[in-house]
Amino acid sequence: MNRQTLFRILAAITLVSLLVPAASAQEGEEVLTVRLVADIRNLDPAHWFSEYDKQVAMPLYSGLVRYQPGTYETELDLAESIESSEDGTEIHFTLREGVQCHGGYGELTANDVKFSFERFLDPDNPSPYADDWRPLERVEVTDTYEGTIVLSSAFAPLWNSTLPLMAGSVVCEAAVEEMGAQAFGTSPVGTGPYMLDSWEPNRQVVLKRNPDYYGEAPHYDEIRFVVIQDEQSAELALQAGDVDFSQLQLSSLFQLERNPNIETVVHPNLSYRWIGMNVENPKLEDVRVREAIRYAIDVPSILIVAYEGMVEESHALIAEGLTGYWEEATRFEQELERARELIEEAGAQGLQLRMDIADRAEHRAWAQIAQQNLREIGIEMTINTMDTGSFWEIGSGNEGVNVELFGMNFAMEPDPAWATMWFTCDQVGVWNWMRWCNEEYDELHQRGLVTLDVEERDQIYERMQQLMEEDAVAIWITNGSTPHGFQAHVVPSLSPHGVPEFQHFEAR
Amino acid sequence: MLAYITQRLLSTVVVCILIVVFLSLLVHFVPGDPATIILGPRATPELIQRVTESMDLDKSPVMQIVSFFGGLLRGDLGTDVFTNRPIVDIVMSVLPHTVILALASLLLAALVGVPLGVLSAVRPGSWADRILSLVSVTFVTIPPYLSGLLLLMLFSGTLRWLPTFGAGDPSQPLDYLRHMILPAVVLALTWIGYIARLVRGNLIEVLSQDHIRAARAQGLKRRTLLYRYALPNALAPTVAILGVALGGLMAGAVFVEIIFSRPGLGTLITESIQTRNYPVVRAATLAAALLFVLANFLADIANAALDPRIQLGKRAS
Repeated sequence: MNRQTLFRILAAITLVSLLVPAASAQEGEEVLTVRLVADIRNLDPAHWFSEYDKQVAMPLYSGLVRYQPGTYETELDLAESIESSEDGTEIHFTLREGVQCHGGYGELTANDVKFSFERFLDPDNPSPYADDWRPLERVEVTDTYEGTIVLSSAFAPLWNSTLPLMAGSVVCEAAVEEMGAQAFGTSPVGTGPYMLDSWEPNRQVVLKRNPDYYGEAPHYDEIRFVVIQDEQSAELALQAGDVDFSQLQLSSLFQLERNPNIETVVHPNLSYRWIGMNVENPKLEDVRVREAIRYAIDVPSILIVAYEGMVEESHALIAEGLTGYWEEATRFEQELERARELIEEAGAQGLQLRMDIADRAEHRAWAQIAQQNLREIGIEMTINTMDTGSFWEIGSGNEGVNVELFGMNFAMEPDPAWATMWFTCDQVGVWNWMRWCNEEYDELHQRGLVTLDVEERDQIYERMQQLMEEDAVAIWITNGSTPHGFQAHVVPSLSPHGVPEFQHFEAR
Repeated sequence: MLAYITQRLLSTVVVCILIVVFLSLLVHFVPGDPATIILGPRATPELIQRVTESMDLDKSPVMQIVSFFGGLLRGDLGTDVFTNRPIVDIVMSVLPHTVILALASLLLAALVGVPLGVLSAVRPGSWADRILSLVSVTFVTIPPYLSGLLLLMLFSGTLRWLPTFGAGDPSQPLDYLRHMILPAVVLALTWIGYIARLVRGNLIEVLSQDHIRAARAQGLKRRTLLYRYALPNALAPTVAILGVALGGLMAGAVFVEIIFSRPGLGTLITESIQTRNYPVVRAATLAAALLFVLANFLADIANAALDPRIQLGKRAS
């Protein structure tokens, strides 16, 4: 064999090796590869930063209760029993025995529960999510496996968004004490069905099935979260079979639906999106002007242009499926003649307005449609597109009076209080950019927090939305939607509003 | 030579200071409070204050600069407010990926660009030259974002020969190499075009010089003449441009790293800008700038080694 032949053989071997994927999981292991839009930053239940932190962290922890897969119905998890006092201020729980913390940190006890919940209010290490435990006074440990959560007042969100979600996740005290709260965020220790195996920043996070898990073992041996920021790249990775499950853009759905190996699912979102009107601005202080704008703006057209018509229109603040959803909210349709009459009645002919928006494609589309619509009733509207950082400042402090119209998205948890909290009087100059202050609304918000009866809560939140509608402070656009794509062999589990529950994923 | 190195080191220090000054001032001019953006709407004022302090943003720009360089001398650039990891570790963990990608692209650009340039130059005006010129110009003008997506669709999406994302496992060299093929090709394309055009131009010029004509008249073989005498002369300016190319490749790596979802300085800087994580932006930008300066420095040294007429110390002075 001469040197040239040897070189050719070596080159061929190298080429073949390069084209054959390297085995990265152990043979026979079932691995779920999930696209993560952004890398994780902190998986501590009290200090997480992004939705992606939350998605990765949820399978690591258990709480006293949890949502049943695909619903907002709660069921017992770490708790063998849990019971609230009649006034809702004392919640007595008994833990399962023998639950083991990941990594050999010992058996979980009521002290871990106390530590996990009280640390949200620790003044030395304040949590951005302290609101989730706002009325918490203390957790009394009465036995190794028993304790009582003592609240200063009843707290309805406790059962909807605190206990079953991140704020209700129980961490293992010994692990936090040993590694320190700072390091815990990237080396989390819980008792959930998965445990953190490795995190390679900007590359991947790997969770392994917890062999000591007390409940039914999850299907996948390993969940590998890979960071893919770019939407087109994620779509290609899904089509190539390199990724099993991915969040998508609405515009990708049409293409992917033609691929027989890929399935797609679209859930309505919990976030709420609206065009706000600043009632303290002299141009908009007359309710008739605001009503005219509401009659003029054609929301269905916005939905077609901004979302390809693939989302539902919203008519009030709270999303369908949550306590407080207001089914009878008025379905405003475009009525230009009525809008012109209102402008004339208010003597606001020739009005010039400005809409501030963050530089996002969907908001640009809203503003462009609104601009056209308002022109038809004699209002000239300019569009002020700003980078996100600048945009988030415009409503703050007294300067916020200068805001006129604005386009906005807010995310929320599955309890109506997380939607209504931003529009109270004390939020004027903070996040209430409509600067709308209504005492009845404020009083109802406080009542909604402490009312445990679901029907009564429904009425409270419906009335609050009615008040907003009467004063014409917002034009509700949509709650948006969360599209996902996945390989046909995957059976995903998603919350009613499209949040993946990876611990419940199965294979077909 | 020593004077040259001293001068370059001093200029590197000046570049670093300017970058840090610029970035420190930028924080004050860019609207939006970084701590509020990082923590979201539910953060309390106390927590916002705490994060502001931990990022040194409560200090004046002058104090920020002093504090940064103090930390730099100690090898401690602080702790990332998101992950609580040392910022030095964060930058150092992604730096090798960017450097390896840039060097691989540079090597590829040189290995393909130089022969293309030579092929064009030996028969200027021929069909081969025209086609190669067209190819070179296409490579120069096609943006990496577009070529990246096209190649990704073809080789990963349709043919499924290569992975669609990631950098692979560094502990498995072949896997790492597999993941680097497409990004390196995309990044190299522009410079293949540049180098081919540059080598072609220089080689045509050298081939028309008197000493080459004299050598040819003396009966020296065309091959010897081309590769032994003409090409080294034509390559000297190319080597100089490679330093600039390395800087350009690192800038291009920002897009390529995002398209191919590779860890690297590019993704780190863009992600940190998006989240207003200024301490990381500052450290990562400084690392990129140092690489750029180092690349130019090495190119100068290589250029001097190739061309004895260049005396670094004197030229620099």
